[in-house]
Amino acid sequence: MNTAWRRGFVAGALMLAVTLLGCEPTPDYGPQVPPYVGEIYAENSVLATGTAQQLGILPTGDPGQYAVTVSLPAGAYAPGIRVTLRWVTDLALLTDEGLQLGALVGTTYYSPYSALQLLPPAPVPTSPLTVTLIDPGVSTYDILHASECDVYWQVVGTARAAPSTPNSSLSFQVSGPGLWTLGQKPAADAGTVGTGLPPAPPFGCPTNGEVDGGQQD
Amino acid sequence: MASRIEVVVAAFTLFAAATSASRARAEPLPPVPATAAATSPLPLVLELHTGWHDPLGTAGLSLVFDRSGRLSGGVGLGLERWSGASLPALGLFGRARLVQVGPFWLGATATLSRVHDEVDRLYYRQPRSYAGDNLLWSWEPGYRASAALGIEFDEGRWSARLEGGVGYLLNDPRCEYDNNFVRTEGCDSPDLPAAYRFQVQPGRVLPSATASLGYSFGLEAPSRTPAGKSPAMAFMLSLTSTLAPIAIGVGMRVANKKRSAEYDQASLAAVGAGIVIGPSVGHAYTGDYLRASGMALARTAGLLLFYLAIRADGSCEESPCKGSGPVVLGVTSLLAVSALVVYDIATAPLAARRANERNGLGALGVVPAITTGGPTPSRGLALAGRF
Repeated sequence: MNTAWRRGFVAGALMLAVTLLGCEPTPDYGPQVPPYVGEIYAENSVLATGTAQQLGILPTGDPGQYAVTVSLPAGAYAPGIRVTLRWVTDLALLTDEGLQLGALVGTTYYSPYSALQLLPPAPVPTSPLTVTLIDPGVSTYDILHASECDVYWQVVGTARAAPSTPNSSLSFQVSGPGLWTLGQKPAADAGTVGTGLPPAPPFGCPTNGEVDGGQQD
Repeated sequence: MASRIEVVVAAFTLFAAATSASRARAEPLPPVPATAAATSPLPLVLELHTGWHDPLGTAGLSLVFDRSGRLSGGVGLGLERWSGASLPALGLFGRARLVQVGPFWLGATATLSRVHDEVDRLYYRQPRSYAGDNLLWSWEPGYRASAALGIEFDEGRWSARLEGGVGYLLNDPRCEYDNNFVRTEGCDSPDLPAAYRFQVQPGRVLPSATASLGYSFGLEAPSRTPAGKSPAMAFMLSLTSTLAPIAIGVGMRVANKKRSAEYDQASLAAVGAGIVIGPSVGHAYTGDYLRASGMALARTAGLLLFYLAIRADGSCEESPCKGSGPVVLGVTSLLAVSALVVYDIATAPLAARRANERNGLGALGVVPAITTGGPTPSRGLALAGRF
């Protein structure tokens, strides 16, 4: 009897040890989606179904409402492609003297060097996506686009906020993957804006003509 | 007193067995006094306990109904409150003594308690392009089931227990997420990143370690220790009680790859317990409580001096200080503590021999004996010693 109890005690001790070893869960972040630029504060993704879909990041605190929403029109992506939207800040490589970046949402709170990153790098959506911002920082903007793998911002258009109650909002169209932001172009500049910084490719950028493919889930 | 009576009884029995002629005329065995606990009308033990992730918090009091049998049970109360408006931790527990090993009992404890608990984690997603994510899970209150295995030593009215186990919080927590940009509450919130929607949240399974000291309010419990103190046992107790916590502490430190401050503190506490308490255990076993506690205090003082020396030396890095006082103090105190550890372990067998001599068991021996109580002298053997 004593031996049986002794064995039971040892078995119990082993079970406790095994339980303790497995008691701390590890987060599973899912598939990695390069390239990575700046510091990522928010990310969300959706699996394209071929129908119209919405993807939001930066919750406002009201249920289901986001400071940034991207609308995917029907057929923009083939079904099965995971579309990812990131809020990226501290884009030191992509800033330029005189160019005020990131008047995207509530600039008094958010980092001035911020942008949206739309992934995957390929394929390009067949029709433009619509980005809607709640409560942008200023009223008139240049729409700026850059590829993560070079360091130049392209001015691709102009946007104007539409005041509404209770928050102003703004919508603009994005035609492809990469970095998107709003800024105020210096008066002397026009068209392409150069950074003057060495064009070091961020982590995950393709080299020698290699192109990242869209992730099929 | 009880151990002396047992020795007398054993000697008498041996003598009687060897002398068949005198058996019929031998005096009847003196009745063994009934164990006090068996007749105690109030078999209650008050316990003070402290520990890491203890089912009743960092410190608590328990009242145990213990008749010194296989099973016991009781209620517990935590000594700290989560907030001014909350109740302290409350618990019910049952214990079983399973195996006796020398003077110790190995046993199991099951506890149900109502506690308050919270766990925070800071995750850095790889690659480090992601901002750090702060997560907080809180149970206010939490209903916890715990199971533990322990070792118990009791001597007279006093008892000591060491337990290690695991607890599980039965109800769901409240979740908070914050990465400086996004802040959300609720474990089911769609804004909580999916990676942090765990089935079993961190902190819901809690490893625990508890040390408790009990005092019996009933009559004195029966001694579980043998009459004679084994020098080998005393040595092994001091040695293993020193090395095991140190090994556990070092293991926790090595396994703590996330550099959790909580685990670092626990590993330091384990190493400290091994150094301070471990070498004294063999002396407590021999009944030298004063010496055991005195040496433990001396080692505590040595460790405190070592800590102060480290702090003083650390401040010298920021602003140059004159002299090598902190270094000398640190090295001296560390050497002193090491010497005290080795000395206590090495002298534990001597303490057992001294205890046996004190109790009259130091010079026990089997001697020939002749009785003349009958018509003819009877020859036999007797167990003799100084009393």
